[in-house]
Amino acid sequence: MNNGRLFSVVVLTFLMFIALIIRLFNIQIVRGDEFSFYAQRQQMNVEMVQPERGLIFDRNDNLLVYNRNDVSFYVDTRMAKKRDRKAIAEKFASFFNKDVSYYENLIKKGSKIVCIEKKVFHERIVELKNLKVNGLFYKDEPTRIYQYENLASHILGYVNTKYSGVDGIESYFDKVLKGEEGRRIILRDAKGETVTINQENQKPATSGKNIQLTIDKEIQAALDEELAKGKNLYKATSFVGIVMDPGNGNILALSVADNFNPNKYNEFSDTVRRNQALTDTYEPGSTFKAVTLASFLDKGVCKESDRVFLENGNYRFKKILIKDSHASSWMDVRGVFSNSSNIGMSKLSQHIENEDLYIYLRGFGLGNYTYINLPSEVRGTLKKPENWTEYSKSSISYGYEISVTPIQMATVYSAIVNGGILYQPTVVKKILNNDGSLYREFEPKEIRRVISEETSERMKKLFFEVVDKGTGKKAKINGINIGGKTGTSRQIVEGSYSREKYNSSFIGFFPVENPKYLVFVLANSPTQHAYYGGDVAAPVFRNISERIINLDPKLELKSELDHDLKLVSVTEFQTSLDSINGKRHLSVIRTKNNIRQTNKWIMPDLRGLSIRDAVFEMTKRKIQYTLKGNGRITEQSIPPGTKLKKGIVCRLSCDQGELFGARLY
Amino acid sequence: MKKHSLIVFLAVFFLILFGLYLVLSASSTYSSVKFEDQFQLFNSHLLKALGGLFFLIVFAFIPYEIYKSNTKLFLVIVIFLLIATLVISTQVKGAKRWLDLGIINFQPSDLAKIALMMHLAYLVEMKDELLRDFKLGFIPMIIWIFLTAFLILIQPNISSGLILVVLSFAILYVGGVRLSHLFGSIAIAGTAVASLAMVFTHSRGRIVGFWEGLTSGESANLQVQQAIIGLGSGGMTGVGLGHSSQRNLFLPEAYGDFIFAILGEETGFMGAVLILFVYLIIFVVGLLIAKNAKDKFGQMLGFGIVLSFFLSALINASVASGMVPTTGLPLPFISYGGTSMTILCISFGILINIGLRSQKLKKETEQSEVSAIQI
Repeated sequence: MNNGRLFSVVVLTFLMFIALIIRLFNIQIVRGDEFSFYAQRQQMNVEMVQPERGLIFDRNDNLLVYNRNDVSFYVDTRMAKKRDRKAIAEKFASFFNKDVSYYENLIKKGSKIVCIEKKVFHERIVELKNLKVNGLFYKDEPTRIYQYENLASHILGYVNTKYSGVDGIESYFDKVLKGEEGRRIILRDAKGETVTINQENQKPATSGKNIQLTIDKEIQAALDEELAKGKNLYKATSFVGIVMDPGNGNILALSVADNFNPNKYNEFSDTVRRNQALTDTYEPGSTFKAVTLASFLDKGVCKESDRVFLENGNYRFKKILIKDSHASSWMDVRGVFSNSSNIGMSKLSQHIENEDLYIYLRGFGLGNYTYINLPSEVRGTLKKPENWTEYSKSSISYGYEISVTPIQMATVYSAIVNGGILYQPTVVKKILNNDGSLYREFEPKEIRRVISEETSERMKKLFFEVVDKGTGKKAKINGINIGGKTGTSRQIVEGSYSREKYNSSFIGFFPVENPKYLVFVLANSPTQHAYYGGDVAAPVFRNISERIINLDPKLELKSELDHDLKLVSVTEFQTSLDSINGKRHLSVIRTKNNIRQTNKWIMPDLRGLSIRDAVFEMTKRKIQYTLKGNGRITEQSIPPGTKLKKGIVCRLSCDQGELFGARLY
Repeated sequence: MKKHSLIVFLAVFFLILFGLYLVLSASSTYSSVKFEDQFQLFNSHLLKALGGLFFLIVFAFIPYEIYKSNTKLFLVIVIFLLIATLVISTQVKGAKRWLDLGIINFQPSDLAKIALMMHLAYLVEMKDELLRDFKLGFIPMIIWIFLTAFLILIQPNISSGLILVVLSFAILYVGGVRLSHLFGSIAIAGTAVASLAMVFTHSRGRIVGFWEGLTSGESANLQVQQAIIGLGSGGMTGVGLGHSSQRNLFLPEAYGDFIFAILGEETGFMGAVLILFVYLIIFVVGLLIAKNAKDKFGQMLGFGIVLSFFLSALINASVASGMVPTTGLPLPFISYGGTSMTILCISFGILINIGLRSQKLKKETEQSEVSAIQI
């Protein structure tokens, strides 16, 4: 062995060794921070955690809108090899009963990432989640569920594919409902899959707040149904209905026929989805006479007993001709109102100054927003007195030359009958934090006093007369005093008043003594049977009101009519009347109203509920159940009030017909 | 000397143990993604390591002199295997390197290295003074070298072929051939190999990529880039054993040729340098064993074995640090891979035996001297 040569080889390798150490020193010590930065940048991933969107309840804690945890499946076509694709297609085909080729084509067509099954109800797919194939992955994608489908659709609105509110409450309170995104740092691998989740620097998502509406689900359902029936019967373009508590501006129901299903919002046109109660103005016609007459009375320019000459139906006012549909000669102010005389109103209006009338109209909030908490409201038109012509005051007195929205009319009528105070209408009662505590309460908001209490009392009497013996007779309900006003106005079509297209409306309230419900009904272009407000809108008003009366056990009926059975038994769930002590029992058949939302972990009393409602209550609480029979729930194996444990199974027995001794008809 | 052999054995044992741990850490993500069992590759490596240790111990007790008479036959067999590889094996990543013999699947180029080194060691001892003769000494050796190297180079496996040539020339150099012969053939071989390297897209890409990386300041090779990020993020003391993030599929084949990057990431500069010093210790002690070998065959063979081992370690670490273009050389006793582990263990068994034999021989000679005096 040549020692010198060996030594030179060793020296050479030592040099390499030293060079390597220097290089490592440079990479690891000198530039260590730099490479750590690169490493973290590619390994860490900040992932936003989506908060749960707030729930929406009606005024009685019925859940109207919630989120379902669905799962969507995707295939990354870059990673799924032919064998993988085949495996995926076969598995999904057998699971969803579709063709293998359907999935194969879907994957083949996709460029990078293809969604192969969208929003599958997550309880179904545990098996699919466990399927491990290259390129297949899934994501949680919640679905917004509108429990009662079309119910209150124009109030609720809907969410788009990005889960943002588009219309209605969903849009107006989008920020409140949305909650706050959380953040977590995820250590991922080069394929982008999560390896571990960094516990530090985490920020949990804050769920959206829950909203309790002023809407009453049962009244809303009644309104929805009756408007749809009316629309069908009179072949109208649309029907708008509002039920309001005149005493505080709470909207109890608001509906437009046709309504839509927010779960499938894209199947409906923009026209259908538009909330016409807020977005569409119309010339109110005769219903507006109440507004002007209230102004006259309050201003003191006339009183009920004043007599007016009605020109036998044809009145030439300056250069225009004003007509009444029912010609008369002399009438007092009561008659003018209950027979809805345009000539009478026109003549009465001559006694008030333009400015004074304008102040009242502004006072009622006309030509301005009501500021209801729903989006896309318009404010109608009210011209300023300096722009009025010599005919303007006369036209306005019977509801022309002014345009209003349905919500404005309902609000104004509420002010007229509630003692004279204009309230800001609201559809929201409370906003609740996720833990159930109160975040914000919407107290009734008084805007101003418009007319005196005395004027309001006088107006109520006049309204009663309209229904009792005037144009609004078809709104009459025995057993309760109803007040209201009809209206029929011609629509403006291509710049002039149409002879075929009318807006027929009726705005009424009850009980007259102490108004609790105000119901607005507007039919847009009814084409069959009739077109007068008294013939079209008033019967629909009556149907709605009857159902409301049946839903409200506390409503005071006129005492002399208490024993009149047949007049009250209107709805299908109506039960017995106790004629002996003169008090009406509400149905023993319970609706979900009675179940309070308060505790999710307590077994509710399901007896008397329909299967649909009971099942809903069970799924909400994640209770497993078995069902026997059909009809309504008669027995439940877990007594009400029991604390719920995970995995508990409740046996429900159902029966049709007899229930708690009361017979169903 | 017994002590040297023991040091080598213990150091190798340490490397194998540490390698087991490192393969477990580096392969866990890959295994769980690919096989849904994070121990899949580790288990396979564990078997190979146990097999390797078995061979190491067995070969440590086989007197190495018995190879002397068979080196030529062995090399001829290996050359046939190399030819067979070219003919029958399937292409993996554009090269035919693997020979599937049914039960075992291995790279004959690893085998060729030890076979060629043995035969060269044998020739150096046998030719003795003839070594300095061009025709009778130098030419026969250079023919064997080029024949073997050529068969590996055209697989194509440029890096293994090159290192084989370098090792062989180092043996010839230390063995004592004339420098004129050596450098003349280096010049010729260098040109030939360089042009051959540029012919194959596979290796050309690597070389061009490396060159571009050097000139543009950033490595064009993703694997090397990720290796450097791994090493760099280790810093002085590392991210901690088992806490590598680069193993999460960022660094391709983190458990194989690039395991040094995971070592550097988990244990930092300190750990990487420590392991490199273990390699250096084995190299130095191995050289001492070779120097003290009782015959020239043992000296040359021992020298070849430790040089091959140390060069492999240095080059592997240099590749991971982006100093030299990517080669297929493993990190000895640590990288995942059966062929290299087995061949390495066998060669170190032989090395240990060389160390043990030198001692025994010395004792025998001493004894015979004593007895001679007594007589």
